Amino acid sequence: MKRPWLIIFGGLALAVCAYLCIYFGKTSAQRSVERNTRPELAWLQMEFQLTDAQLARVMELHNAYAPKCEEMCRTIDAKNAEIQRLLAATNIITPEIKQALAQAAEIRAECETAMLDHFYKVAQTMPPEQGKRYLDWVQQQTLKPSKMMPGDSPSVAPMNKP
Amino acid sequence: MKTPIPENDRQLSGLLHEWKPQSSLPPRFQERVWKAIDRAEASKPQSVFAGAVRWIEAVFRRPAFATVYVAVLLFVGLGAGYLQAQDKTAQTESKMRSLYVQSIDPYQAPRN
Repeated sequence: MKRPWLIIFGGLALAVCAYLCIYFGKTSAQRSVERNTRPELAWLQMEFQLTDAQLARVMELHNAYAPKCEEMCRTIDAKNAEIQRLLAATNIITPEIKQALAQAAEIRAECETAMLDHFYKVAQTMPPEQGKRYLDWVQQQTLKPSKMMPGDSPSVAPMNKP
Repeated sequence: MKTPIPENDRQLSGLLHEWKPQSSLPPRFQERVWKAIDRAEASKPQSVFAGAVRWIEAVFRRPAFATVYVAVLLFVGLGAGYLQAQDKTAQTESKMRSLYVQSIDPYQAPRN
């Protein structure tokens, strides 16, 4: 092959190699997180720089909390269905509706308490600075009024890097 | 079928075999011949494609241009890889954050 064509195609090959090296080099951590069986916890480890021992403790807490969370989901769904049914049956505020709304607020308070308790436990397993950052972020994501509607499509804000 | 060689041709052939050229080639004969060939080829009408190929080859023979070309491609490759990687990283992080929040918040957990 003539030298000019060698330069043309060699330059293109070099550009492709440079692209692939940078892309795969910079995304290796993310790809490893995605391949993990518990990607959300692998991400937590990467984001908050947890050691394997700290991650193991967080996993333990997470696994213990998961059934409670599922139970809360079921309770919230059942209460919401009841409220919807009561609202559909009338166009005035009946004592039953008042009572159901009060119960929904009670459930919300219980959920918030359980979540906070879990967040504090998780934060305590982290290095203090990371724990504080975790609490700031997770509370902002879960305890804001706009985040308290069931079935909301989550739009999770990026967190402040230390 | 072979025709017999006439007597005249046989004599001419003999003379040619005996002939030894005495004069030497003029100076820079070969170079002049190649130049003449180049001129003849250049004066021939060329297709657009052939013209473009000749132009590209001529341009890429210049070391300065070739160096800039390779440097620009390298920069473009690195830049595109970096930007794509940043995009992919942001997407993955956003997805993972959502997954984590959904796994701990019953109000944001996906409903079946």
